[in-house]
Amino acid sequence: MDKNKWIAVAVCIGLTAAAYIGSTGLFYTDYRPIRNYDLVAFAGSWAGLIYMLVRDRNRKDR
Amino acid sequence: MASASPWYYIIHWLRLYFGAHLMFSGIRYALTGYVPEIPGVGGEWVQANADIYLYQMIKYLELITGAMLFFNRFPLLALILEFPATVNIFWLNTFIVATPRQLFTGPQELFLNGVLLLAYSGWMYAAVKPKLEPLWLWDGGMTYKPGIGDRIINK
Repeated sequence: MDKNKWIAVAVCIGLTAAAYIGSTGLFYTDYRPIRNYDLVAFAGSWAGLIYMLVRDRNRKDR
Repeated sequence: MASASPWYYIIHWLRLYFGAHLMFSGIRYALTGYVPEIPGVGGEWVQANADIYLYQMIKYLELITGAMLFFNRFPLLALILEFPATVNIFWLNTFIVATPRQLFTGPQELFLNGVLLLAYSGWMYAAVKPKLEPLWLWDGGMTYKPGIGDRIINK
């Protein structure tokens, strides 16, 4: 994990938080619990990203 | 896009997120026939689409394009095929339904599809020319010859 990969992870955490707030209405409208719809999308995107980071852990090509 | 750039992983995260999001929506419809309850004229529009079977077609399109994006198969084609549905969702949620949550989910859909289209459209750059000559899909191998966009068949 180099610095650029950590930046990508931090941005993706931010995007996840934005999608969570947008879907639940936290801070801006009536709160609605997070839906399976969103949880599946979070699980899929994070599983895929972690797979890619593990796959590229020793990658040297730039 | 350099694979060492943060963008590389951010774009792939967005592709996986949008793919899973579309696939879930399509599979949910295919398994349960779920149609969201939408207030007002937006709901009438969706019901009219369901009555002429367009809604069903869009849901199966979402299933297919979502799988294409999630499993990274023909992602640019999937983004182009999904874009009309995305524009429809954006317009309906943002300007017609316009409840607080829809003011988020409408632009979100356009953001996901739009950013991903921008991120993948570099591949189309060479072909987006003001005076592009027609070229059948099955003659596509000619695009690898020098002079793309010119009258390459006569060369």
